[in-house]
Amino acid sequence: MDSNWPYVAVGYTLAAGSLGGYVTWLVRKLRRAERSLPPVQEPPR
Amino acid sequence: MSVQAPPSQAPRSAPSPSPAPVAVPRLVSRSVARVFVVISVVGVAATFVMGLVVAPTDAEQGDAYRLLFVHVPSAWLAYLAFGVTALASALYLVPRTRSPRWDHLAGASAELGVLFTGLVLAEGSLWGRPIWGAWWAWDARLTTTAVMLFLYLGYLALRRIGGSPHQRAMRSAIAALIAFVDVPIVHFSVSWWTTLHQDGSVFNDKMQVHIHDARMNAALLVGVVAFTIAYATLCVARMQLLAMEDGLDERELQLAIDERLANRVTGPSGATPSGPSAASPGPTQPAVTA
Repeated sequence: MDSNWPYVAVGYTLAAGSLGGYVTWLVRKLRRAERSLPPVQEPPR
Repeated sequence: MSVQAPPSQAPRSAPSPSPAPVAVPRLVSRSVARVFVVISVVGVAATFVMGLVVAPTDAEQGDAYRLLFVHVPSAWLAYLAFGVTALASALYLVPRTRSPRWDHLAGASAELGVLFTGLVLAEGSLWGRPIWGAWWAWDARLTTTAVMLFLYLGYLALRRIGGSPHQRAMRSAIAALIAFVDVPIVHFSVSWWTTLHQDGSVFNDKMQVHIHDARMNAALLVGVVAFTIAYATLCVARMQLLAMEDGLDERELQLAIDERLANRVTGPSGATPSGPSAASPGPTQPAVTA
């Protein structure tokens, strides 16, 4: 096994963690804001 | 303005004690948002699988080069995000095209740009340790990228300083245009100064880098496309949140104004004052704004 795998593993974990963390934070804030401020109803189709 | 004015901007002499909620229109419908979320998640997962499993080990760099399947799309997105921030800021500054949506787009895109710039630097550092033998070098590309990160962190800090949404939008739009000066410097730094970071490789004939393995090309292409879709999805969601936050601020302001008006009419202890100011507030009364 290539000795560089630990760097690769850390890099991909970091990427997944930062993107996942940002998405989680954003979804939480959106839900909280939606509870306090209902958005406009979508027009009926 | 995307935030609709509350109907409670009623006659000052009879303020409503609790204004109706400020309604913020959805930028995209829930079903469209869901489709984009699914495509983004699948795309990023596919990038990881292709980068880690499908792409073969490089003959010279071994497995360390797999970090480039995240590094390169992140770098492209940092450019794209800051470009969008600059464009939206310019559109806000022009009176004819001014809209709070441009300000929201600029703020959302800059935040994502900072996220991807952080990723570029981290992934590059992790790649540089086994290949260059150093986590960091004061190379032209690395240094200008770090400067870009701090410039946009400053931009995000500036957005958090108080003031009306218009004041915030104006000052941050000017800051965004100033910060964008660094973006072409980052891009051309490898051509202008010969330091450690290599020149552009994939579309550069002078470098004579030819990726013969289709799996490597596919992993890079999937990464760029997937990260771009994820950026667009996150950007729209963040814009929605910024619009909602502005709506909440507006409602809080409206509540505070109504509370003061109610105190003027009834008095703090609930007694109705007999003076003429009760029915018509004086010139020092805070203005009810849209």
